[in-house]
Amino acid sequence: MGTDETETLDDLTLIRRMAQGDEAALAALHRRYAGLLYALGSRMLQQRHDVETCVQDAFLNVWKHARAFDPARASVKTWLVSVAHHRFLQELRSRPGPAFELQDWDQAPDSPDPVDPLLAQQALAALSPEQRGLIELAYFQGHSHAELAQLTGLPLGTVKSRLRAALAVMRAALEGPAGRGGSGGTP
Amino acid sequence: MSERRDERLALALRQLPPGRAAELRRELAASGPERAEWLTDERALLALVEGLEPLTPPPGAEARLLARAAREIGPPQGPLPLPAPPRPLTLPPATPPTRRRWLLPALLAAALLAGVWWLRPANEFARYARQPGAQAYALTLDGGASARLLRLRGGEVVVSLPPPAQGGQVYQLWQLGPGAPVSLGVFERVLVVRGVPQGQTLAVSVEPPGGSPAPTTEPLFTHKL
Repeated sequence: MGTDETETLDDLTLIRRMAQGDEAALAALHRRYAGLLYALGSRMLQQRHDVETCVQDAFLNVWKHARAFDPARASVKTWLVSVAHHRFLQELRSRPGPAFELQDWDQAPDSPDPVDPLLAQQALAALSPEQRGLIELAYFQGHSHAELAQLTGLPLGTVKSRLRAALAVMRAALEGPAGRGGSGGTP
Repeated sequence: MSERRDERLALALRQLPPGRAAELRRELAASGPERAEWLTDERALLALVEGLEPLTPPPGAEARLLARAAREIGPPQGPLPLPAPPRPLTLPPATPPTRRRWLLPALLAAALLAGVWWLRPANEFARYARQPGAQAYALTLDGGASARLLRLRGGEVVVSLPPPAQGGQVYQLWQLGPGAPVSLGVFERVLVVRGVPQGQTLAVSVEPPGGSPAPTTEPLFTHKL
């Protein structure tokens, strides 16, 4: 398997090896990020069985499209999270896709740098409970602005302005002097 | 202005229909400042994911992922080249000499009886068997039939069995361990599984079409790698 060797490789090298058909690299990427994707899936789907299928779908799609990965446009981690988030939303919205394929907008599009987990916690802590509840409903449950207005009883305009405000708070927390730039791939 | 801002936010939240999302992405790609704004939103939303406590994947998740990759996407092109054309398979002796005397004629007779369709998986197995460093094992089953198992240098395992006796039944490969058996895949004649660590114990059972969550019949064989 070459486990010891692959553990020391950075994300980009793993993707390049996956593009060559190296399944040990796929396994290493899974060991590195499966925990995060399972956490995301459990948060979004609220149970475990479908989570594994969706996490597998995300990894298999990254595996299939590894050759198309452009490191200038995305980090491996954010690409993987983006693909998985899309797959979980697909499941939530009852649009199951046995032939789930990457859409144009999932094929390693422009994506931001990863966020340091400590900064992420700070950004979340900066939100008011109302802001956090709303942004989590939108991101984790995939509700549209109109659905959020229905769910919360807030006017649509208020939902939009609160989401904008929530993003502004998080951006400010991440864009501070310590928050600029992102960490590269592990390790 | 805020309408455009809301649409960018909807894009970051994956709320737009795919067509409009693709269109907006193209528009953003052509506009430096707007693109930067959108990427900043995306990055802020990533904080929601980074704020989650990672979970331990369920036992066997990695093996199941690799099995699915092998089953649905096929052998990799890089480290597992399949030389062609195939040549006759020669397996090292792994059965008692008394059985070897009738093993080859029995296999040939079975192949003739089964017809041409049996040749393809046989050839597939033979091609894997010729990989450098391949370790081959012949396992005699109850009733005299034989299973063949290969372990390749890269950690891949190839299992080959004669077609199931009853139509519609399938074989299922299991990884045995301290917990419940973990399914590594369902197959009819040949299965390739990747990423199986040395020392693992494998078993094959006969299951109904589509396989079972847990073995429902006595294993045809168990084998420790």
